[in-house]
Amino acid sequence: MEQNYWSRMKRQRLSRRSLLSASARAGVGAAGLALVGCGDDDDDDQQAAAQAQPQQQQADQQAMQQQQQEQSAAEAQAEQQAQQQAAAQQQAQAQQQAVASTGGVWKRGNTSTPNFVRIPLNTAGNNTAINQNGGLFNRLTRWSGPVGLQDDIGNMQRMVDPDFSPSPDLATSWEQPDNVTYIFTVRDGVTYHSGRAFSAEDVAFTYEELKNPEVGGGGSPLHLMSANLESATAPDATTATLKFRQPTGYVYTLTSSTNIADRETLDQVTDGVLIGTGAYSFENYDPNRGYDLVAFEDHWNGRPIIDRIEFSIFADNLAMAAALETGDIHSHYGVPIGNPEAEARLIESPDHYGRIHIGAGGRVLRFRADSPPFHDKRARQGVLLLVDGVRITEEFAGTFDVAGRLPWQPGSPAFDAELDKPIYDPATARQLLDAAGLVDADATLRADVLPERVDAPAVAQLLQQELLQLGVNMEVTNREYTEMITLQTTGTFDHMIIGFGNWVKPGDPSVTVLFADAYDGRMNAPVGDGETPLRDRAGVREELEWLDMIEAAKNGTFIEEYGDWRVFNEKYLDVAWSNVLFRQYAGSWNTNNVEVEFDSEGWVYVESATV
Amino acid sequence: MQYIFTRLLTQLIPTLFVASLLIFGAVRLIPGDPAVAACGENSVGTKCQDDLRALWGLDQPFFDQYVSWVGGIFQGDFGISNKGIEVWDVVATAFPASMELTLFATIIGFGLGLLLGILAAINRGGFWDYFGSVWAGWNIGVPSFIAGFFYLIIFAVALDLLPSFGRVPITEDFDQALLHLIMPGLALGGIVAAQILRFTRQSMLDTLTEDYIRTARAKGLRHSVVILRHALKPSLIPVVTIMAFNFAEILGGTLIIESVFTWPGMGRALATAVRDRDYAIIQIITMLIVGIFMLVYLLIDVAYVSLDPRIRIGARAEG
Repeated sequence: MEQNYWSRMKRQRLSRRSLLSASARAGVGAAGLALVGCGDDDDDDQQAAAQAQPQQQQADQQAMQQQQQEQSAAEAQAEQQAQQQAAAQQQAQAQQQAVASTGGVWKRGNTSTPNFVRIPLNTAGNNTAINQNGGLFNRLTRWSGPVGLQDDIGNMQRMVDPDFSPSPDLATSWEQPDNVTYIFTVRDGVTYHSGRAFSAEDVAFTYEELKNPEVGGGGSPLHLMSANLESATAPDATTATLKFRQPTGYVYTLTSSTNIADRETLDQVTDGVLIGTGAYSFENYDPNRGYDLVAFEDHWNGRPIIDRIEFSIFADNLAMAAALETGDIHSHYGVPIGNPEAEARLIESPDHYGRIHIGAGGRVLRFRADSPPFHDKRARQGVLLLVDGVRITEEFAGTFDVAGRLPWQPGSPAFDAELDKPIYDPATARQLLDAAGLVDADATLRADVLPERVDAPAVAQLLQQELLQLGVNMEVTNREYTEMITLQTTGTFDHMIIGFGNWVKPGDPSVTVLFADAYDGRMNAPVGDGETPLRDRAGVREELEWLDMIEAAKNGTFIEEYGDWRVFNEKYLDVAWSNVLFRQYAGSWNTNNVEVEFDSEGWVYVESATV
Repeated sequence: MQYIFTRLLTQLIPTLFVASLLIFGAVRLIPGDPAVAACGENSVGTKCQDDLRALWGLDQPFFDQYVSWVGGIFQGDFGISNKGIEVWDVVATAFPASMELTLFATIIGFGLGLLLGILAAINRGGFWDYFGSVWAGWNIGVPSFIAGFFYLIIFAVALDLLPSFGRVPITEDFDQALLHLIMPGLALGGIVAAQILRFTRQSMLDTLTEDYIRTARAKGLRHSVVILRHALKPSLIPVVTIMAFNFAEILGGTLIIESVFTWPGMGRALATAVRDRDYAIIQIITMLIVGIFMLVYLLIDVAYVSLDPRIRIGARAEG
C-alpha cells in the first residue's frame, strides 16, 4: 500500500554522490547543448581556420589524442571503482534481504468474507480462505499433498500427481483396531495461543461440539460428517479415540478438516476471541477491511518465518487483480480471480507467478431427472457430449481449471485418467438426442445460469449454438447467487443449471458423494412434500444400483463390494444426473518479491519467504 | 427552533417509520434468503437453511420480526449479522470511512467544478471553456464505477502513482490518507464537479452581463476584483443549493465506488450484505443513509429559512 511512486520518492535520500552525479550529468548536458548551439554559427569560420593552419591542426590533434588516452585510462579506472562499489552494494543488499526473509508483513487478498463465528470448528457452509488456509488452528491430520501442485501456471500439463494420504498434524500416529474405531496419539508439548497446554481432551471436546447442531453449525458439511460419530473420548492426555456407529468412508476428511478448538474460549468467539494452536495467532478482524495474524512464537513446529499476515477482503475481483499487479498485495489465495483477461495479464507479467493448490471443486452441468425431457438419460448424455470442455477451459474458464469428466482429482483413489478425458462428440450426441425425441422436435430446453462465474454464460452460449444446429432451442436465464443456490438445493430448476460446482476433496472419494447430493438424485428428482422416500421418486427409482454404489462409497465399503472404482465412474457417467465439465483448483497469484513454500493446506508451514 | 422541532415531529420521524417498514419488507422480497446464502451451494438438503432460519428468527411472522428489530434498535441492539458480527461494529467502522470519502468527494466536486466553471465563463469560447465542456461530458457520460476502474488502471497499475485500494485514516498518516482518497474521490466527485461546473459557468455568464458588473468595470476596477468580488458571490447562490443536494447524491454513489476501491465504508458493507442477504446489516445501513438524507434536507430547509425571510413569513401567514 505504501509502495507507490510518491512513497518511494519521499523515502529516497539525496547523497553527495547522487548530487555530484546529477551535477556532472547536468554540466555535461549543458556543455553539450552549448556546443551544439554554437556549432551552427561557427562552422564556416572553423573550416576556414583549418585550411589556413594545417600544421597547427596536426599538433592539436596529437595533443587531443594524448588527452583522450589519458582520459580513457582515468575513465576505466573510475568504471572499475564504480563496479566494485556496485558489487559491494549488491552484497549489502543481499545481506539485508537475507535478514528480511525472516520477517516482514505478507499482504494477502481474498474475495470471501470469513464467517467469523464458524472459524474455530471450520463449520461454515461456505469455506472461506481463513478456514481453508488453516494457520490459526491445527487439525488432527492433514493431507500430505506436495508443496504446491504446480508452480508454473504457463505449463499446466506438468501438474504433479499428488498423494492425498493423511499425514500427522496434531496427531503423530493413529491406528484402527476395528472398522469403526480410530485411536489417535496426539502431540506432546503443544500450546494454545493463550499459553494453555493442549491435550487429547481438547480433541474429544472439539468433536463432541461438532456433533452439537447449535455449535457445530446446523447443516454444515463437517457437522453432517459427524453424524456417524458415536463418541469422542480422551482415555489419557495423549490419546484420543473417535468411535463411529458404522463403517465410514470419510473419516480422514473429517480429521483433516476439523479445527481443534480451545475448550476454554470457544464460547467467546462472538467477543472476538479466536484461540488455536496454529503457527499464527489472531490479532484483529475488521469486517469492512480484513483481518491480521501475527507469528506465534511458541508454535510446536517452530516460529513461522513471516512476522505478520494482513488479509484484505476485496469486494471486486478486478480490483483485487489490480492490487496484485501494482504490488499493493503480495498474493491472492483461494478461488481463482475468475477473470480471464486479468489472469492473462498476470501470466504474462514477469513480476508474478501463479500456483495451483488443492481442488476447489468441479463445475457441473446438472439436469432435472424427474420430468421431461431429461427423465430420459439419453437426453442428458447427448447434451453432455455437446459440451466442448477443452475449448471452454482454454477460452473461458479460469487459469487454474482443467477439462475433465470425473469429480475426483488426480491422486484420489477413484481417479481414472482414461475415463476423465473430455469427450466432445456431436455425432453421437445427435443420435442420443434423436433417440430421446428432441432433434427437430421444436423442443425448448431451459437453462439457469450463474453469470458471476464467467465461464457459465460461455458454456450456455456454446451449448445453445450446438443445440440449435440440431433443431433444439435453448433458453438461458441469468440468476443471482442466492437464487441459484435455492434452485439447486431445492431442485426447483426447470431443466438444467450451469455455473455451480461440487465440493470435491481428494482423499476420500466418498466425501464428494456425501456433499454432492446431486449424486444421490435429491436435487435431480425432488419431491415437493419431501415425504416420498428417495428411492421411490421418479427419476431416482430407475437408478437404484447407482444409489447402492453411493451408499457403499459413503460407508467406505465400495472396493470391498464392487472391486474397482472404475465401476463407480462408469455408472456416474452413464446416469449423468450432473456431470463434471471441468475441475477447478484453488490457485494463488504471487508477486516475485514474496516466495512462499506452500503445503497442501496453504501457507501454514511456511518454509521460506522474502517479503 | 420551533421550525426544526415541527419538522422532526411531522416529517422526519414519520418518514423514518415508513422507511423502516418499507426497508424491512423490501429486503425480504429480494429473491433468495440469508439462510440459503450462508449455507452455500455445498450444503446438503435444506437442514442447514432451516436451522439458520430458526436461529435468526426468520421463521417468525413478519410483524413479530419487525417489532423485535425496532425494539432492539431502541435498546441499542442493532442485531447480529449472518457472519456472527455485531452490526454496530460494522457500522461503527464503516460510517467514518464513508463520511470521510463523501466529504472529500464533495470538496473535489465543488472545488474542481467551481474552478473550471469560473475559468470556462471568463474564457468563453477559449481553451478552458472547451476543456471544461469535454471534462464535464466525460464525467456525466461515463458511469462512476467505469471511471473508477479507468483511474485504477491508469494511476495505479500503469503509472504506479497512487495506491490501488484501501484506506488509511487521516489521523494515522495524512499523506497516505490523501493518496488513498484521490481516486475514489475523483470517481465520486467527478459527476458533481461536472454539474457544478455547468451551473457555475452559466450563473457566472448571466452575472457578467449585469449592469452593476459593467459599472464596476467602468469605474476602472481590476478584472480579478470584478470577477472575484462582484461576479462570483451572486453566482454562487444557486451553486450552493445544488451542492447540498449533491452531498446526499455522493453518499449514495459510495455504494459502488467503495467496492471498486475496497474502501471500508458503508457502501461496500451494504453491497456485500446485499449479496449475502445479510438482513441485519442491510436494514441498519439503509436506515442510516435514509436518516442522513433526511438530515441533509432538513439542514437545507433550515438554511433557506435563515437566508430567505419570505419562507418564514409564509410559514407564519399559514400558521
